[in-house]
Amino acid sequence: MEEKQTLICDRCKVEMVPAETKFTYLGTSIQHKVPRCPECGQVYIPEDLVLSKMKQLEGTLEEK
Amino acid sequence: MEYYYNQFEKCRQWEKPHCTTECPFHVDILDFIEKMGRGTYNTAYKTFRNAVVFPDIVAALCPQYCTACCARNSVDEPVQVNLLEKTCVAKAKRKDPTDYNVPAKDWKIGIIGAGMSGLSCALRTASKKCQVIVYEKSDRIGGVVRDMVPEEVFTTDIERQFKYENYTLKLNTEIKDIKELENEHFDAIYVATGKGGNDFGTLNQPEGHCRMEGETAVFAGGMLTGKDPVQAMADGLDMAWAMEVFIKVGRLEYPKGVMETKVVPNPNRLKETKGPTPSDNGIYTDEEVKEETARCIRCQCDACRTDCDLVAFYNKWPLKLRDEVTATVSPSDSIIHAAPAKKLINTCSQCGQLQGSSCPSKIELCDMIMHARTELHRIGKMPYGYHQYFLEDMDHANGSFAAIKKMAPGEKSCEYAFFPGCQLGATDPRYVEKSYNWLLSKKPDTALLLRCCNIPAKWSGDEQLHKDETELLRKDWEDLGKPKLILACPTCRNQLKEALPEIETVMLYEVMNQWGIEPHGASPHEMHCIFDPCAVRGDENIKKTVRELADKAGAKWEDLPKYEQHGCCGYGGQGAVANPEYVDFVIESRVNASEHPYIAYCINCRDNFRSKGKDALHILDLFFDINDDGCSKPSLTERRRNRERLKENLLKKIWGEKMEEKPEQKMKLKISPELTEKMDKLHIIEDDICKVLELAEQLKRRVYHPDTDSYTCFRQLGYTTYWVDYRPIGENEFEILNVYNHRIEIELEMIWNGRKTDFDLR
Repeated sequence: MEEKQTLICDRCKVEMVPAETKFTYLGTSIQHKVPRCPECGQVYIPEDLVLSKMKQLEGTLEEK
Repeated sequence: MEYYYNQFEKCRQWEKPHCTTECPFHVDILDFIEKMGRGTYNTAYKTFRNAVVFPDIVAALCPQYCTACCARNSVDEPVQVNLLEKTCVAKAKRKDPTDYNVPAKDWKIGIIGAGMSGLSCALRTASKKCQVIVYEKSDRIGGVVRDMVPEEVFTTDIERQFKYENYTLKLNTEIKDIKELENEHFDAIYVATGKGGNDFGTLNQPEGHCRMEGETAVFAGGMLTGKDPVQAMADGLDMAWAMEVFIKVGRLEYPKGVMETKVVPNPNRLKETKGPTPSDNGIYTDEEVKEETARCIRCQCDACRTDCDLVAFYNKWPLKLRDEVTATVSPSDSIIHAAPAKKLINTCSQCGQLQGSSCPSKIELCDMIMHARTELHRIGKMPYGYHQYFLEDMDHANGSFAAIKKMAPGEKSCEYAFFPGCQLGATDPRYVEKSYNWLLSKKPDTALLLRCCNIPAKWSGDEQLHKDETELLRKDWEDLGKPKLILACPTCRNQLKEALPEIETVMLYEVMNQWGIEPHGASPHEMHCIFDPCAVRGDENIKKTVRELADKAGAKWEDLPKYEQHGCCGYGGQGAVANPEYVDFVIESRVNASEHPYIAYCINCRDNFRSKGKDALHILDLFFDINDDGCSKPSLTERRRNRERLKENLLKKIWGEKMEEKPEQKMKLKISPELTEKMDKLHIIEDDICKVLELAEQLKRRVYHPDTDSYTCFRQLGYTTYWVDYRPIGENEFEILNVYNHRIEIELEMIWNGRKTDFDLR
C-alpha cells in the first residue's frame, strides 16, 4: 500500500481531500474521486493514476 | 469507402491451397494438418470424415492427388498427406459419426449401383434424412473397391458410417430400363453403374452427364464416366449436392468437380527439410506426425500478414480489418455503435508497402485507411489528441520563427528553389545550410523555400486544414515565380506530387549527381546498407542515383536483404502518439533487417533508427562532412530550436539580415537527460512545460508537496492535459522533476464553493 502523501493547495493553503471529479473524452463522461482542494476545487491527478486507469480508459474509449 | 470496401472482393484470404483444390473431395488440408500437428487425432478424423464420408476406405485407397501440386516439390519432397490420413484413422479413438437430429424429408432418391460412388451418395443423402433406395445387380455392395481394401476395413467403415442412417438396399436387382423406376416417383436418380455399366442415355447430354426423365432428374457419375475409384466416391458426394440443388430450386446442374485457386505459395517459407520415415508399422509416431505437419508451409495468401507491419502488429486477417475499419467510420449517434478501429486507423504508417508491391490483388489498404481518417474527422469521431503534436510542429515549421521564402541574394527571379522540408534542418541546421550553399555555388539564383510540405495536415485527416495549408504553399511557390523545387525529403516529393501536381520537382540527390558534387570529409570504412525510404518505392531512378552518390563518396554499401521490400521506418502516418508500441515494433523490425549500419536519404528514417541505438547516416553526411557520432539525435525541443537557429543562421550568413522576430525565452528549465527522453516519448516539448508553468505561477494554482518541497501544476493545451512536477530554483528558473500527460479532459465545475472557477482552467 502506497504511503499517503499530504497535498496542499498552494492558493488556499489547505489540505486536499478526495472528491468526485468529472472527466470527459470522446463524448463519454465519467466520475472519479481524486484529491481536490475543498476551497477552490483545484484537482491533482498523480502520475500513477494517469498511467493506470486513465490510460486504460483512453484506450477503451478510443476503440469504442 | 465503398470503393475500397469492394476491392476486398479480390482478396485472396479465403483462396484454398492447391492440395485442397486438387483433392477430389476438396479436403480442408490446412485444417486437417493443423489438427494433426496439435496431436488432436479425433478432431482431425472428423475434418477428414466430413469431406470423404468413408475415411478408413479413402485413407487406404487415396493415391495422393495433392502431392503433384505441393509447393515443397521445388525444394524436396511433398508433404505425405496420405500417410497422415492413415495415421489419423489408426490413432483416432472416437470414430463414431454424429447422430444429428434432422427432421425427415419427403425427398425420394434412387441410386442405381451399390459401388462406393453409389454408397457415398447414399450416405450423404441419407444423412440429410432423404428416403434412399439403392439398387444393386449383384449380391454384394462395394463394387470394385471391395477387392482393393482389406475386408475388415471395408465392412467396419461401412457399418460405422451408416450406424445412424437408414436406406433401402435392393441386392440382386438389375435395372435395365429407367422406366422400371417410374412407379417409385423418385425426385432424382443417381446412375453409378460402374465402368462400362448402363448409362440409361444420361452420358454426354447438353447439361453434362444428366437429363430429365419425366419429372425426375437423372445424374450419371463415378467410374461410369471414366473416373478412378477414389474420384468416383467424390463424384457420389458431388451428385448428392446436385440432387439437392435440383430438388430445392429445380435447376439441373451437373457439378463441375473442379475448384480453382489463385493462391501463391510464399517461397520464403520453403526451407529444405527432409520428411520422417514412418516407423510405427507403416504409420507415423506422434513425434513424426509433428515433424511431417511442420513441413507443410500452409499455402495461403498471407502477403499482408507477412509484409504489412500494421496487419502483422494487429495479427488480423484483411477481411476482418476491412470490416472493423468500415464499421468505425460509419456515422451513428448511438453510444453502443462499435468503432473498433479508431486507434488502428491512426496507427498506419502510410508507407504503401502492401498496395505497392506485396498484395497480389493490389488492394489499397493504405489509401482505405487514409480515407477512413478523413471520414473519422468528418463525422467528428477523430481522437484529435493523436495528431496535435504533429500539427503544432507543422505550424512551427511554417511560422515566423522557422519559415523562409526568399530569392537568392541580389536575385529577382529564379529557375530553382530549394525546398529542404521541415525535418532536415530540425535534425541539424548544417544539412540545410551546407546543401543550400552548395546549390548557390552551382546556381546562384536558387531561391529558398523553407517550410513544411503540410503532410501532417493530410495524415491528421483534416481535409479542410490540408486544403488551406496547400493553398498557402501554392501561394509561396507562386510568389517565387513558380520555380522548379529541389526537394531533400522523399515524403515532400510525394505530397507535392499529389497535392500540387503543377509544381515541377527534382530531388536534391539527383541534382547533386547531375550538377557534379565532390564529397567532403572521410567516408566510413565499414560496410553499410542503403535504406530506401517508403516514399521512393518503385522509383528505380532515385534509388540508382543515391547508390551512385554513395559510390562517389567511396562508401562501402550493399542493399538490404529484401531490397526495398523491407517496410518503412515507422515515422510516416504520425502514429507515434496514437500507438507508440506499434512504432517501436516497426523500428525494431527495421533496425534488425541487417547488422550493418544504414545510409538513409530520408532524415526521419535516420532519426528513427538512431532512437533505437542503430548507427545510421544520411547520404548528405558523406558529402558535407556533417558526420557526428553516428548515433545521436536531437530531442523534440532541440528540433524546434534547431529550426529557429537555422533561420537565424541563413538570414545572417546568406542575406546578411538579422532575424527580427525571435521566440521569447522567459523561463529557464533544468531538465535531466532521462526526463528529456521521457518527454520525447510522450511528445512533450519544453515550450509546453513553459506554458503550464506560466499559468501556474501567475495564478498560484498549483499543488504543494510538503514531503518533497515541490509543486505540481497542470494545464490543458489543445486536446492534451499536461502535468508538471517542479521546484523553483531561482528567478524564473525551475527544476523540472517530472512531466506526464493525458488526453482525457478534466471537467471542472463552473462554480465551486460559490466561486467561479472556469476562468483559470486552461
